[in-house]
Amino acid sequence: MIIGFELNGEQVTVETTLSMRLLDIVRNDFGLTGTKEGCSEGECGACIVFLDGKVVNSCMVPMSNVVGRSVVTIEGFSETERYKQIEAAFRNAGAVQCGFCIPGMIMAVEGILRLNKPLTDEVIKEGLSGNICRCTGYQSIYEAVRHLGEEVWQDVQ
Amino acid sequence: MFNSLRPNSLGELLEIIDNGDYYIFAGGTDLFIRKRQWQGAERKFDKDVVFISHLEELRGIFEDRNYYRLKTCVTQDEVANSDLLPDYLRIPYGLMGNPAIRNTATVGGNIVNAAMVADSLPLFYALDAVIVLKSIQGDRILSIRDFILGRYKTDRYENEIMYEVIIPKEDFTGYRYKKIGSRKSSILSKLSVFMVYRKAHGKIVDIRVSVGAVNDVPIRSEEAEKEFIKDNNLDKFLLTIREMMEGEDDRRSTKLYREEIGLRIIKNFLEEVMEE
Amino acid sequence: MKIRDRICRVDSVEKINGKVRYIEDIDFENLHFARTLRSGIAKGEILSIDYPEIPDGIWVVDASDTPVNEVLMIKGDMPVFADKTVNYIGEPIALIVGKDKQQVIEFMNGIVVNYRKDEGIFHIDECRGHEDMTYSSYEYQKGDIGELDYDDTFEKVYSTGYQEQLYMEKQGLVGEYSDNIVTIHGSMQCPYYIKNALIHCTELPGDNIRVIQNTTGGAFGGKEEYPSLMACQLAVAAMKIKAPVELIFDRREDILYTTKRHPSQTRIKTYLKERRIVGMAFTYELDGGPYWGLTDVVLQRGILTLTGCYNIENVKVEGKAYKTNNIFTGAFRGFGAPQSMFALEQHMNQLARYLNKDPIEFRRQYFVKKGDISATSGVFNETIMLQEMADKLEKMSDYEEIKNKKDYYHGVGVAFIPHGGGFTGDGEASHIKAVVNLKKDESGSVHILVSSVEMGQGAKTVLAKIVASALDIGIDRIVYDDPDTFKVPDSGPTVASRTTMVVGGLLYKAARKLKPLMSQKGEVLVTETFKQPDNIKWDQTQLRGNAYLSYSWAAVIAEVEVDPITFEIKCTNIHGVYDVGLPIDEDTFIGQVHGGVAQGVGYGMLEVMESIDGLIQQNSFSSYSVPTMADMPRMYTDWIYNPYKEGPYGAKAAGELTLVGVAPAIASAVQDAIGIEINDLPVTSEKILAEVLR
Repeated sequence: MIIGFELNGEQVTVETTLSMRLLDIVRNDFGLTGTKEGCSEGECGACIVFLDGKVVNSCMVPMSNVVGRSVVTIEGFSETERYKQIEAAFRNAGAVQCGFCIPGMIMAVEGILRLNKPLTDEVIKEGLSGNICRCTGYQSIYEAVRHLGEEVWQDVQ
Repeated sequence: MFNSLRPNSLGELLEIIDNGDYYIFAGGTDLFIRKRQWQGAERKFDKDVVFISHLEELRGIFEDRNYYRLKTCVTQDEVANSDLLPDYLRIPYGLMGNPAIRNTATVGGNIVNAAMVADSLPLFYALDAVIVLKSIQGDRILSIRDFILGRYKTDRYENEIMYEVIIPKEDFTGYRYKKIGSRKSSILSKLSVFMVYRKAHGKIVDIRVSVGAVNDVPIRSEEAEKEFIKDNNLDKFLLTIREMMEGEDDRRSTKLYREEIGLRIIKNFLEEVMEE
Repeated sequence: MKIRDRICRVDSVEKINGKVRYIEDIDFENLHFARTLRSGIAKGEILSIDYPEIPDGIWVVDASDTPVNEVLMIKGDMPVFADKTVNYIGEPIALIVGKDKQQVIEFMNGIVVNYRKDEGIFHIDECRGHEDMTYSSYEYQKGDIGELDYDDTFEKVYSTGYQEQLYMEKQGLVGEYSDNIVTIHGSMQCPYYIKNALIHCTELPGDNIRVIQNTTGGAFGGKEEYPSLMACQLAVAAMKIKAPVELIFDRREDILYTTKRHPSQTRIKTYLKERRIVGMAFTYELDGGPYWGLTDVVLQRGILTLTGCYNIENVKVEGKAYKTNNIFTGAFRGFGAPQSMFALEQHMNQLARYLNKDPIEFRRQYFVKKGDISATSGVFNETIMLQEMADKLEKMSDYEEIKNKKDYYHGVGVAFIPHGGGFTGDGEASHIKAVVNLKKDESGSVHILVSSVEMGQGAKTVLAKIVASALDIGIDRIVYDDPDTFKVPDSGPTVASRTTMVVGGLLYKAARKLKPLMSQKGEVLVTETFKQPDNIKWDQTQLRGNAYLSYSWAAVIAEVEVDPITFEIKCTNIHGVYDVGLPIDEDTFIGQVHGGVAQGVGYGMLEVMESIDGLIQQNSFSSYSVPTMADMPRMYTDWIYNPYKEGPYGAKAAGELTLVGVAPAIASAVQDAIGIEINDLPVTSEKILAEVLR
C-alpha cells in the first residue's frame, strides 16, 4: 500500500506495508543512512528519530504508526541552528570515537533539550539512558551536554 | 501470508477482531522483538495483524471523582508526565524502558503481554486496578488479578480489546518503589517492589505491597496486609510473602537473590513506614 | 603544527551529522545478500542436509565450493564452512545467498540438517590432563621455586567469565569478484590478515586479492580475526555467483556466534618468608573454544606479565589453553591480561589484607624498576615510574581520606597494571615486519599509506598529528584514507596497542626522511621498515628475554558504594594515573581511558555472560548489560611524562592498558566495602548475597 507522511519537512509517499519498520524505510527507501541499526530491539538508541517531535527508536515503529505523521532524521535535524550548537559541543568535547551511536545520541540530546528543563545530572543521565556507546565511556558526551545546557539556557534567558 | 489492517475507528476494530484471530499491535515494543527478522526484511507474522495505536478513541488519561482511567494506547511517557496522575503512578512509569521506548510503549501493551517482567503489573495489583475489555458484544470488567492468568496469559478473548485500566483513587499517605535491574537504567527488572500506604493518627490503616518479576505474576497478599494492619507483625508478614515466592534462576538473576532481596526491601519499606 | 597542539578529531564532523558511510550504508550494484546456515548443535556429525528445491535467484555456498576449506589465522584448523563435523553451536555450514531477503528467509526455513550428536566438552575442568583437549601449554621459571625457604603460603583460585566486545556496528563485509580479482570491503581491524586468509582459501595469487576497509563502528578485538572467516565465505560466494555479496550479521547472531573474551581460571600460590613475598607460582588456564584462532597468543600475553608491576625473585608460571565446544574465543582489548591481572591484583589486595598492610604501601615494596629482571628473565631497559605514579594517585584521590571513610558499604580498591606495547617478544620483527609509506603528492599534500585502520580509537587523528608535527605542516595537508591493500603496504594489524607506538614510530621516521625532500617538485615516496631495537632479546622457545618492546603502566583506584539492602553496586569514582610515554593527542588519549574504564566497569560488575551446553544465554542488548551513562563512575585521569626512546615523541601503548586495571580495582573495592572475598568476575549483587549468606 501507499503510505504518506512528512519526512524532514517534505510530504512523501512510499509503497510498503503497515508492518515495515520506519528504520528500514528511511534507510532503504529514502537513503537516509545516518539512522543506524544497532541492537534491533529498542535498547541502544542508534536508530532514534523524531516522530511528531518526540524521540522514538525507529526499529520499533511500524509504518502503520507513521501514517500522516512527521518524521525527522539526523539528516533533517542537521540542517537546524540547534544542531550546529550540538555538533560544536560534541566536537569540542572529543565526544566521538567510532561514531556509530552518535547520530542517535545527537537526536536524544535534542530530546532532552526539548524538555525545557535545566540539564541536571539526573535529566542528562536519564535522558540518555537509552543510548549505548561502547567507545567513549560517556564522560565526554556528558560534558558536551552539560556545556550545551549552559549555552542553551543562556539563550533562553 | 498475513493481512495487516488499520481500522479507522474503535467500532471498525471491534468488527475486525470479531471475525478472526489477530495480533493486536499497539506500540510494538514487544511484538517487534518477538517477530524479529533479518535487518531490512519485513517482519512476518503467523497470523493477521491489526494496528491500533493511531485510534484516538484508545488514547487519553482521564479522571473522575473516584477513578483514574488510562486508555490502552496511552504511552508510558504520557503517564510519566501526566498532570492528572499521582506520583505513585507517574514515577514508576518514568523508570520503565528508556525515553525513546516510553514514547512508543503503551499502557495496554505492558498489561496484555503479561510478561513476568512487566513493571506496571505490580502497581495495578497493589492499586486494585480494573481492566475493561471491549468487544462487539459489549464490555467485560475484570479485576487485574482475574485478568492476568499467568506468564504471557490473560483472560482476554480473541474478539476483545483491552480498552482501559481503571485505578481507584485513594488517599495514600505515601508510596515506595524499588526496581532492580542488572544495571542502573534502561533494563528489564529482575525484581521490583511497590508499596502504597495510608496512616492515620500515627497508625497504618492501609498498606498494599506487591512484588514483581519473582513469580510468573506479581505477588500480593491482601490477607497478610490486613493482619499486618492489626498486629504490625513484620516477621509474620514477611513469612507469608516468602511462602508465596516461587522465584527461579534465569539469565537475569537467581531465585535466592530475588526472594531474599525482595523480602529485605519489603522489610526496609515497612520499617520506614512504621517509624514515620 | 606542533605535537602538543590541541586539535579536534579529524573525523568527528561527518560522524556527528551521520554522513559518514559504514558498510551497511553503501550501495553496490546488483548486490546479493547472504545469510548463514548454522549448526544447531555443539558437537557432532552432519549426516545429511535436506534442502528444498533451489529456486532461481537462490544460491547455496558451502564447503564443496571452497578451494581450500581452511581459515588461515595462526593455524588453518577452522573450516570456512563446516563440512562433515561441527564443533560449536552456530558454526557456519553454508551461506544462503539471494537478491531478495524474503526469498532467502523462506528458503532457509525449509532446510533441515540431520546430525549425529556427540557429547561436547563445555568446561575446562574436563580438559585438564588431556593432551588432545589442549591447544598450548607453556611453562617458565625465574629463580627456583623448588628450593625456596619460606614460612607461610597464601593460595587462591580466581576465575573470570565471557565478555562480548559489543561494538555498536555489527560485523559486516561485502565481497566482490570481477576480472579474476576478489575484493572485500567492510568493517575490520586487519586488512592484511584478511588478504592472507583469502590467498590461502581461494588459491588466487596475492595480486588478485584486494581488501578495502570502510569506516568501522568499533571493534575492540572483535574484528581482528573474525572477519577473516566471513571474508573467506564471501570470496567463495562472490566467485560462485559473480556478483557482490553482503554479509552483515543481525545483532543476536553477532552476540551468539562471534568471538568472546576467553573465560579463565588462575591459581596463585604465594610463598612468604617473614611476611615478605619470596616466590609466586601461577597456573593460568583459558577456555579456547573449538578452534585455535588466536588463543595461543592470548595465552602468551596472559602469562608473560603474570607478576605484573612487581619484582618477584622466584617465579613459576604454567599456562594452558583448552579445546572445548563452547563459543569461539578470541581477541578482545587486553588480550589475556584482563584475566591474569584480575587474578594477580586481587591476590595482591588479599595478601595485603592478610598481612594487615595498606594495599598501596604493600605494593610499593615490590614495584619493578629499571634494571630489574622481569618474570621472563629480561632486563627492564627503561625508566619505570611506579612510585611516582603511586604518589600521584594517592594525592589525586585523597587516598588517606577515602580509604578511611569507614561507612560499612563504601569501599576503595586498587590495581597497578603493566601492559606491553606491540606484539609479544620479537613478534614485531620476526612476524609482522611492518612497512609504512609516506607520499608527498604534486600539490604538496602528504599521504599516510599504512594498513592500520581507524576504528574509533583515533588513529587518523594521532597518526596525522605525528606526521604533520614531524614535517611541521598543517594537519589539513595530511591525507589518510581508509586502507586499501592495493594502495598501502602492510604496516601490520590494528591490534596490540601498537598503532601509535610502532606504526606511529615508523611514520615519524619516514616523515623525518621526507622533510628535506618536501621542496622537491612532483611526487616523493619514502618507506620505513620496522627494525628491532638492539636491547630487545627474545627466545620464543623458552619464553625468555624481553617479552615486550616497552611497557605502559596504569595505577587505578576504584571507589564503590554497595547498597546495604539490595547489594547493588555503584562505582562512584575511578582515579587513574597512566604512563603511556607521552599522549600524542590528549583528547584522544582521555577518550581511550574513558572507553577502557567503561569496558572495565562492564567486565568488573555488569557484563554477565554465561554459556550452558555451548549456548550463550545473554543474547541481546536487553539481557547482556553493558554500562549506560548512569552506570559510569566519574573518571579522574592524570598521566606522567616518561618518554620511550623508540616511540614517536616518546609515545607508548595506550589502548588496552586502560581497561585492564578497572575490574580488579572494583572487585577489591567491593571486598573492602562488604568484607567478603571476591575471586570471580563479574562481581554481581547475586554473588555478594550468596557470599554474605554463606
